[in-house]
Amino acid sequence: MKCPLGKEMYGLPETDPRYAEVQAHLRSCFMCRARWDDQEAVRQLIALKRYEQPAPGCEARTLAAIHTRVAAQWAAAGWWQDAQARWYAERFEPVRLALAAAAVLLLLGGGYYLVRPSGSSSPARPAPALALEDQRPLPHPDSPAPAATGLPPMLVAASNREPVRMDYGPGPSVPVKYDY
Amino acid sequence: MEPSPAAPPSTVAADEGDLLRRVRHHDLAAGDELVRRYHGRIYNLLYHMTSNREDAEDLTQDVFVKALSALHRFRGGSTFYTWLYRIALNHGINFLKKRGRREMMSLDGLDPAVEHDPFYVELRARESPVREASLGELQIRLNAALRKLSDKHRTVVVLHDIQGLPHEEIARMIRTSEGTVRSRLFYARRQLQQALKEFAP
Ligand SMILES: [Zn+2]
Repeated sequence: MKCPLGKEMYGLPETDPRYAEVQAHLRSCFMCRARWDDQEAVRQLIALKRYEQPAPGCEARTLAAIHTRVAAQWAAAGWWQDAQARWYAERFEPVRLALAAAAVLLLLGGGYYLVRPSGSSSPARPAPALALEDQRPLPHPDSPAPAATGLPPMLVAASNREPVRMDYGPGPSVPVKYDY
Repeated sequence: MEPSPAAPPSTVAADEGDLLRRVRHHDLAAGDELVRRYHGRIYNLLYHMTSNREDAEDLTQDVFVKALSALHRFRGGSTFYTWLYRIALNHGINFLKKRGRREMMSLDGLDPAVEHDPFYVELRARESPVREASLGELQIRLNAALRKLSDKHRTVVVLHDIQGLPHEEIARMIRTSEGTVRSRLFYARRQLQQALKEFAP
């Protein structure tokens, strides 16, 4: 064991593996023993401060003050949350309504495509812009009209195994985030 | 009766998790209960750090208000007790840095039980200035000596020698090693011994 004992050896708990060795050293070394006893005496002297006790009423007073302050803070936090909710509602409710109306119109439009009488010619509409590789020769005017909607087929991955061909029609609704 | 040192609350009812959950949902009664549980320890910590009872009372309020309002930030990485102590120590040390050492001492009363404390009885029996000094004088000298220490040295003395927390717990609270806690204690006691040489042997 190093002598004099390192500062971190003073007050070593009994559970520490070095404790027995330190105690053995203290039994044989007068100088380290004296330092150890000095440390212990100061510890006990300063520990007398634990007899200082708060005046009666201190706890009740503090408890009441904390209660009032925390209640005010939480009430303000609640008011703020309510105010935020109101602000969002006022600001974004018209947008939400407009989006809902647009979604209904889209659904109705898509439904019309599905239930309209077959064989009727498609109304004139501008051709969608296609990527170069998608540009196929236009069908001959005498060739039979395409059976479906006249729009190019779209690949939709229904599963990660087999891509499924799906014609344009009423698509799934697009989730809209409102948590700005 | 000798006041027992503030041991870590291993005996604290197992419902603390429930209490914390209720406080997070702004349940004031649960907040009161939490304050009641820890008020004594936190007040004592801040009192011994400042040697001023009015400051300690104000700081105790601030610490609990801060802790209850910021409870959503307590993730349970330590015990609630350790987390609360950290807030109190940070708050107390910041306050002391701003206040400096000019503030007068304002001391709590001494429990008359001190007269039956074995160490005090032994001290008075010796040929020592304690025999002549009144308890009040001794109290002032102890506080004055403690105030001369640096904040980090006073912190370990208050937590270990006065509040009775083990080195391991203190090391967790101030995020250092147990060896460093013991080294600081050694150095702080040497300083105290100098300041109190007519009382300490
Ligand atoms: Zn030695």
